Amino acid sequence: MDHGTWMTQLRKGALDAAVLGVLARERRLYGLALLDRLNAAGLGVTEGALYPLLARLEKAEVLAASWVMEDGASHPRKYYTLTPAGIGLLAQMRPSWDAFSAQVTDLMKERSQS
Amino acid sequence: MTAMKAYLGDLKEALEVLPEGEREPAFREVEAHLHEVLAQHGEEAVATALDGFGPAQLYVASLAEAHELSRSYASRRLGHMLFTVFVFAARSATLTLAATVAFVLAITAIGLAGVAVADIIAPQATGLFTGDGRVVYGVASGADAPVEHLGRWIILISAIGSALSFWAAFKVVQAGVSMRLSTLNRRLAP
Repeated sequence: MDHGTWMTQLRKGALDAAVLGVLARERRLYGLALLDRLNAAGLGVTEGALYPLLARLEKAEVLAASWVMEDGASHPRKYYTLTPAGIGLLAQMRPSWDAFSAQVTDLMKERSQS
Repeated sequence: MTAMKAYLGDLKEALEVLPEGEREPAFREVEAHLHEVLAQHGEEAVATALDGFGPAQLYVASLAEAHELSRSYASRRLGHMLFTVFVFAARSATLTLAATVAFVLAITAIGLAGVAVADIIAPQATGLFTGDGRVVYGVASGADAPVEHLGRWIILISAIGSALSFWAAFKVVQAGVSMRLSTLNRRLAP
């Protein structure tokens, strides 16, 4: 496995948490805006990865979605928001992520020092 | 715009494998995204977005199979498993063949189980009959019925035969679905 493959897997694994985190900050976003926010953070997410994930999170009732037709728009937008279950899941994810990343950082430091 | 139209056409076709209620929302979402990209970032960005979605069939596969269908299959619920098999069979020659073989084996199993039950109800008329150029395994009656040769073994043979047929049918379908899932997972791997 090369560095690129490892990074892709890492991003893929963390994408659920990143989506929940962005939606917690922005309250509600449509697909393209969400994709732009994730990619602005350097996650390198594609449409083919994001939309199936959104569908899965919506089915799991972690996200809620609604179509909104805005003034002057030619097409409706599907807006995503966190549900109470999503807010709860994110609250559980944060300390787990902190602990996990700290542990991995420690392990990597020990290896580089030995 | 031509590429976008062509992609949406491919997508509509690929979405046929999804349950009816899921096709339209999935299509609308991609369509809305592409129009949004066009309006906000221009035509060049649409090409990038189409690359991002990947081939329509693979996108639909990741939408349906990677999450719902593999989970449905893993649930071991008969209805979910059959749904998975039918969806896969629509696009996999291997699984179409496997499902056909399994169907034939299942019918055989049901037939053999029926013979075993018939032997309990009407033992004199049930068995393996030969004679007059005919071979009958099952129920035979009437004055022209051939001579019985295998009356008392029929329950045992039918029970073993139906059990083996069911087991083989299950294994054939399981192998077909597993092959399809692992192919899909390989295609979806980064």
